Amino acid sequence: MTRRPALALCAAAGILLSGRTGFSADVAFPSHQVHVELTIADDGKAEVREEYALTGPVAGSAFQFLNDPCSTVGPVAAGIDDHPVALRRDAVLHGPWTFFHADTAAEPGRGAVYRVRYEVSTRGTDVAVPILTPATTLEAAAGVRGARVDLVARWRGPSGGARVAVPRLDAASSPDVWQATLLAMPSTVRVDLTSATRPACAREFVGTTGGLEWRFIVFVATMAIWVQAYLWWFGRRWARGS
Amino acid sequence: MGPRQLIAFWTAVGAYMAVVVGIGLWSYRRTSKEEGFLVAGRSLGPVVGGATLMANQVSAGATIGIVGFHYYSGFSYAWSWPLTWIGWMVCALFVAPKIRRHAGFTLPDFFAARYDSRAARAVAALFILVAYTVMLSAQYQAGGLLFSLVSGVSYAKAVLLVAAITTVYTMLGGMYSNAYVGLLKATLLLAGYLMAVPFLWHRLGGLHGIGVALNAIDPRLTANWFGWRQLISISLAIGLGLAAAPYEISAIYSMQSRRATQLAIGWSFFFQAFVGVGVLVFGLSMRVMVPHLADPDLGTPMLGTSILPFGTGLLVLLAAVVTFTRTGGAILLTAASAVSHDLYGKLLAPDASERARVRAGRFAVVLFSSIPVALAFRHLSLVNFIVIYAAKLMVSFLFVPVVVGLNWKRATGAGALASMLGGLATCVAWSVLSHPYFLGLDPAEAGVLVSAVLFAGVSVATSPVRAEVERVFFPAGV
Repeated sequence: MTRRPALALCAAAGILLSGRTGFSADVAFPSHQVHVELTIADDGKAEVREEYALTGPVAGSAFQFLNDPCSTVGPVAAGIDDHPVALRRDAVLHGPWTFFHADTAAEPGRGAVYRVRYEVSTRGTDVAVPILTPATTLEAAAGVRGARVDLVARWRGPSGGARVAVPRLDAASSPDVWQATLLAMPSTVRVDLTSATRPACAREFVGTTGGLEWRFIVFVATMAIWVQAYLWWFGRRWARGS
Repeated sequence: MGPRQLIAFWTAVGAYMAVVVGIGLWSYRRTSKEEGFLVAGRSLGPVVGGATLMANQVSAGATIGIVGFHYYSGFSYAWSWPLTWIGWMVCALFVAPKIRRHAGFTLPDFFAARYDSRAARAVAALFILVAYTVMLSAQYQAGGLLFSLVSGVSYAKAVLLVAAITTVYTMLGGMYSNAYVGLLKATLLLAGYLMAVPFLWHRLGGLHGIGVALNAIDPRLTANWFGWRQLISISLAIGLGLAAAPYEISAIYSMQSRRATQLAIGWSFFFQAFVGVGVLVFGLSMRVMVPHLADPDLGTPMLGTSILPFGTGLLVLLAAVVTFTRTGGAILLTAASAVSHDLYGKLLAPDASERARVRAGRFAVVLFSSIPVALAFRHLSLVNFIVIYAAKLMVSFLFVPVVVGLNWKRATGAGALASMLGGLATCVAWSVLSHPYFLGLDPAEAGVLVSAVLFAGVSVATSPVRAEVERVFFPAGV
C-alpha cells in the first residue's frame, strides 16, 4: 500500500467517528517545563510552590484544583517574574473542582517564569494535597509527547514518617525526599503519614455522579450474566448432544 | 522512571522476549507442516482457544486506545463490549460451526471452497494483505509510543523493537506460538488489571469519588457522550467484522472441534469482561488524576509509569507490550498466510511442496512485517481510530459473503465478488465524500447494505455453484 491511500484511510477514521480527527484540547498553556515542589510537615500542613517557564503570553489563563474532603487549600499567591498576578476564584461551583482566573494585563513573552504558591491543611493519615494546575493542557516539549513536569515532595518530620503513594515518585537525595518527571500535571499528590498519630479522616465526596454508579453496575452485571448464560447454554447443548 | 525501575522494566521485557522465543522454538518442531504452522494442528481446546480469540481481538486499540477513549469520552464507550458480543453470537451460531466443519486453513480457503472461485480467493487474499497491513501499523505505533515513553528510546527504535519481537515468534511458531502467547497475554492482563483496579478505586474515593469529579468536568462523561445510535453502529461494525475476521476464522480452524469452538467463544467473553472493566476504570481514573493529558493515548503509559505502584505498573505495562505484540502476531500470520498459502501455494505455484509453502510462510512473515513499520513511522492517527476504520472496511468487505454465504445455498462466486468489491468501495466512498453521512448511514452500514444488495442480486442472476461444492457447507440432512 502506498502512503497516500493509507493516510487518507486513517484521516477518514477520525471523521467517521465524531467529525474530528483526534483529541483536540483547548489552547495549550504556554509552558512545557514545570517545577512543582511540595513540603509536608508532621502537623499535616503542606506548602506547594509551582514554577512554569513560559514560552509565550498568558493573558486570560485559568487554573483549577480538585478539592478533597480532608484538605483545605489556603489563599493562592501568583506572579509572573516580580509582578504579582491576581487570581480570582470562580464564583460558580464545578463540583469538587475549584477554578481560578488570572487577570493578567501584561503579556510577558518567552523566558518569564509564572510562579504560584499556596498552603494546604490536611486531616487524617492518608493525606491528599490538591495541586493547582492550568485548566488546559501544557505545551508538549520538543521530542516528547507531553510536557516535563518535575515534581519534588519533601517530608519535614521524623525520618521515615511519610511515603508518597500517588503519583509514583522515586526516593531522591534523602529518604524523605521524592521526585519524578511527569508528562502532565497531576490533580493530587497522595501521601501516607506512617508515623502520624492523628485521627483518620472519613473521605466523603459530596455531589452527583450523574448516574455513573448504576450505569457501571448494569454494565458489569450485563457482562457477568452474559458469560454465565452463554457457557451454561452451550455447555448443556453439547452435553445433551453427546 | 528511575534508573532502577528502568532496569526492572527492561528485565521484564527481556524475560517476556525469552519466554515468547522459547514458545516459538518449542512450536517450531510442530510447524514443519502447513497444518501445524497455520492452524496449530487443530489442537486448541476451549480455554486456550478462548484466550486466542480474545487475544486476537483485544489489541493495542483496547489497552492503549480504548483507555484513551474513556479518558476523553467517559463511560458510555464501555457498552461497545457487550454490543460487540452480538457479533460474536452471530459467529457462534451461524459461522463457527460451519467453518469448523470445513477443514480449511485461511479465510480465502473458505471463499475458494464455498464459491468454487479462484478469483474470490485472490480478491480476499489481496484485501486481507492491504487491510491487515494498516491494522498491524496500529499495533506497532502503540508499541512504539509505549516503549519510547517508558524507556526513553526513540520512537523509531521502539517501533523496530516491537516489530522484531512480533516477527520472531510468529515466524518460528506460527499459530502454535500465537495460541500460547495468547494464553500468556490473558494471564498478564487479568493479573495486572486485578491489582490495578482496586488500587485506583481506593485512592480516588471509589466510583462515587471518580463520578463526582467527572460529572463536574462534563456531565456527558458519566452518561452518554456517545449516543446509542453511534455506539451500536461502531460496535456492530467491530462485532460483525469479528464474526468474519480472517484472523478469527484462522483461530476457529485451529480448534479441536465445533464444541471447543463454541465454548471458546464463551471463554473469550470471560477474558474480555475483565479487560472491559479494567480499561474503563483506567480511563476514568486517569481523567481525574491527570485531567489535562496532551494526548489521550498517553493514559496507559502514564498510568503504568507514574501513577500505579511499581510492581502493578510494571505488570500493566508488560500486559500492554504483550497485547500489541500478540495481536500483531495474529495479524501478521494471517497476512503472511494470505500470501504463502493462498496466493503462492494455491494460485501461483500449486505444485509447491508442503515444506516450500511453510518456508514461504515464514519468509512472508518477515516481509510483511516491514511495511507496517514504515506506516507506523508516519504516526497516522489515534490508535483506536485506525483499528475502528480497519474494522469498518473489514465488515463492509467480508460480512455478507462469509456470514450470509455460509447460510444461503443460492449464493454464487460472482455474487461474492460483487459483494466484496461493492461493499468496500461504498465504505471508502461514504467516509471520504459524504459529510454528514447521506441518509444518516454510517460508512460501515452503507457498505454492508450495498454489499448485501449486490450479493443477493448478482447471485440470483448467475448460475448456482455445483452440487458437490454446495454439499461441503450444506450436507444433506443437516
